[in-house]
Amino acid sequence: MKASMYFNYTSRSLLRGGLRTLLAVFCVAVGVMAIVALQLVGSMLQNSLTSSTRDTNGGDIAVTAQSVPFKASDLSYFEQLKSEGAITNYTAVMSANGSLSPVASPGTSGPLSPVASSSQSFSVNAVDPNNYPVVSPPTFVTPSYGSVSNLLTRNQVIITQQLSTTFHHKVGDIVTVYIKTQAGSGQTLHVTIAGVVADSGVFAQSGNLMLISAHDEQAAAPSTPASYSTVYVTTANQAQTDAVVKAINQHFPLASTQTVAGALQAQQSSIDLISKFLEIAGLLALLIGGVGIVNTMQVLLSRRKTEIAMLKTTGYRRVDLYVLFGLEAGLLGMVGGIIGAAAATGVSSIVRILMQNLGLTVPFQLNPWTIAGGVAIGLVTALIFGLIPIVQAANIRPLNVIRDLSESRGASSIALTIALLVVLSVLFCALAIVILKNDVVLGIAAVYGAFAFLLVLSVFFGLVVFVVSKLPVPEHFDLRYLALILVGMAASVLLYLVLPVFGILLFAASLVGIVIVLVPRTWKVSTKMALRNIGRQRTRTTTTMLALFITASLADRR
Amino acid sequence: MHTTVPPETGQAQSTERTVVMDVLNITKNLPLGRERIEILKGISFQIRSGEFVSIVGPSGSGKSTLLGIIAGLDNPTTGQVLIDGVDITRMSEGKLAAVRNSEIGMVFQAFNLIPTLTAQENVEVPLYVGKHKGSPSARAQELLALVGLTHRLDHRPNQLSGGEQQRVAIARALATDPAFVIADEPTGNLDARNGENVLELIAQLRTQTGKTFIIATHDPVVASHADRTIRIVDGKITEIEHSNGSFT
Ligand SMILES: Nc1ncnc2c1ncn2[C@@H]1O[C@H](COP(=O)(O)OP(=O)(O)OP(=O)(O)O)[C@@H](O)[C@H]1O
Ligand SMILES: [Mg+2]
Repeated sequence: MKASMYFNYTSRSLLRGGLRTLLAVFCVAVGVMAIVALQLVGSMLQNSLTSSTRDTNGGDIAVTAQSVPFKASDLSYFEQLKSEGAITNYTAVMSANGSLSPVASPGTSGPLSPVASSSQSFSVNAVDPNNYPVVSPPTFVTPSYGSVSNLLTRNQVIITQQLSTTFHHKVGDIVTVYIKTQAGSGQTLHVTIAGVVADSGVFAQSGNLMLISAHDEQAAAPSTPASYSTVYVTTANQAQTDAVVKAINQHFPLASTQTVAGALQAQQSSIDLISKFLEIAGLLALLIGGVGIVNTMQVLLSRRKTEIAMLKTTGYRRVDLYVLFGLEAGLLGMVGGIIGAAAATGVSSIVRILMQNLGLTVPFQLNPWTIAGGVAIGLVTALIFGLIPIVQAANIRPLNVIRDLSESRGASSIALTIALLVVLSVLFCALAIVILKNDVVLGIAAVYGAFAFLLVLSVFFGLVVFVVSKLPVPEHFDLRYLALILVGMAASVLLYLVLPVFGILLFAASLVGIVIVLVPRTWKVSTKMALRNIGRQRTRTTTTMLALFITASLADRR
Repeated sequence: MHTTVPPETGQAQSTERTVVMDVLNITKNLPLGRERIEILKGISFQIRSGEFVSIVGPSGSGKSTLLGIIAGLDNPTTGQVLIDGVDITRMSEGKLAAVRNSEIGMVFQAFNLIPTLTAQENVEVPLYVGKHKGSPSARAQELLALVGLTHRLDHRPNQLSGGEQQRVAIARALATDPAFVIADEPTGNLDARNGENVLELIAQLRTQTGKTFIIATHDPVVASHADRTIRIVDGKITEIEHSNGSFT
């Protein structure tokens, strides 16, 4: 009964708010969207990296020879591990540097001309076509159903997409490659490009890479003994990995091992940094949305001054009004949260498509908790930022029903606003810490940093509003007024040297000061009215300017 | 509780009826620039149960200010307002809200209905705070029937004429069955005919409910309906006229 009445009153008041209500909903939605979208993007990044790290690592363990490459005889150790069942599989890769001869003319079989810059060199991996890679097979761009074992036959090579783009070579091209191994021996090969693989999975971090068959490489230089730079090993489980890593390290003290967990750890800190950054960006958007809520709710509620005074006249206490207006803010926040979360889902699926186009496999999860969390964030934000306008509105004196009293500016109301700001900042800080997954220090730093910035801005705007509201509108020129205009112009010139835009604005304002004396009386009266109105609603005007300024500067940045 | 004596028979015995409101030497000062202006300069009077008192005086004499103080919307600078012997000028917010809710119904020149609520919901508004028996909607319908608006229950204020809006406002003022109905220029925004209708309604309600009516007005017709007329000039009472012709 009472609840339905409260709900009716609340929802209709919001509908009646029209554009202003829409603006408030928009503020919440943008903040929520930023947070949720950035969180989704962050977790997608995390997921894609975790699932692909094994592929990128090339195996559960990558054993890399540091100074002395592995010889064919060294591989027997891995063969033994495999036969013992200590590992499931392994493959050895020979690495070399390659460069292309600009023209594959039959006469020149030597190395490239010295003009060739380093950007034209790339990596060449000689692999065993029947046993590479030991992780998920690569994705072929062309031919779409290609496989390593089918394509890496007699003098055919596979290149990464990046290499294909860099050197403008496509499947079917015949190229002359000069290959130089670490050991120092060089050889020239005439090869056909048989396949192009996507820069993902095992090739995610390969860059410009050409795969050739180890057999072909050996055939080109039969005198040089085979030397492998890396052996990729797969195991059945983590326990096996741990045990084998120890054994390998003992057997090859000069080689280094990289496990998936190790590789992840190295990337994890940078992922953490990125997702923290994204979350803070989202929080700032939410904070700015919050300023919008403060402003729009102030306007919405102050339009209903008489109505609120009437409620008090019929016996409503402050607490009753907190409930009524809290409901209003909550409804705003919920609608904004739902819209924001929905928009965020859209945005993150766009990001997903973009990431996939970049070759990253992104497992997309639409977590219902993320959406629920977004709605909750919207609700909580609206309530936190609604606090100031709600308390101010509930303080409206019932006497307003008889005559329109201007907003009180006593010491107590200033103290109240400051106290409310403190409460607001603490609550928002708590919200920020929750969003930042309990990173207290970062939460406090981000929120209070932003608050300090907003405070400085609003003090500035408050001063401007104060000065503007006190501007005289004289009937004719007198000495004091002329002096004021001259001071204004002089100040505008000085300001121009530091902040050109503001200098021009102040100069324009001074000019308006001259013009205003000459305009008809009715104009003067309306100007005076406008100025006095600004003076009556200083806080409101200040928050409006703040909100406008932030929106404008954000739009500017884009 | 204040309805023991029918008002028709009350005039002659008005001195015997209980004093329900005692206004004691009210003053009101407000700062204006550097000075303080005195709006009310010591106002005292008593109101007895079931009386219809009008407050008249030139514009700016302080009528609305006085009504605001006796209705508990504003505090006097000095002085007291006793309702049933209890001073309402120094009450806590909660208690004063309870007094406003259960003891006082108010009607204004500008109606002050809540624009987003229907006529019926507007009348229900005071019933959702404080303790009230029965269903608010039944009570609202009953009161709207009393003011002759049964056919307008679901209309919003902007779908009602001025006279109809004022009747809704009167029904709202009666919703919690208060002892006092305090009205500030209730006919001020109405044309002569509608004003007369509202006035008749007030007179009729007074007979039916026996409530105490205090009405500030410029309208001599309103004043002529009153048992007593308190005249204020420049913040002071200049005369109290009884409808039987005697002056104080
Ligand atoms: N907040 C205020 N600030 C300055 N002056 C005020 C304030 N409130 C009331 N006054 C002054 O007090 C005087 C009495 O006002 P009030 O509204 O009580 O008069 P009134 O008798 O109701 O007039 P009317 O019949 O025109 O409604 C007026 O001169 C008014 O200017
Ligand atoms: Mg008045």
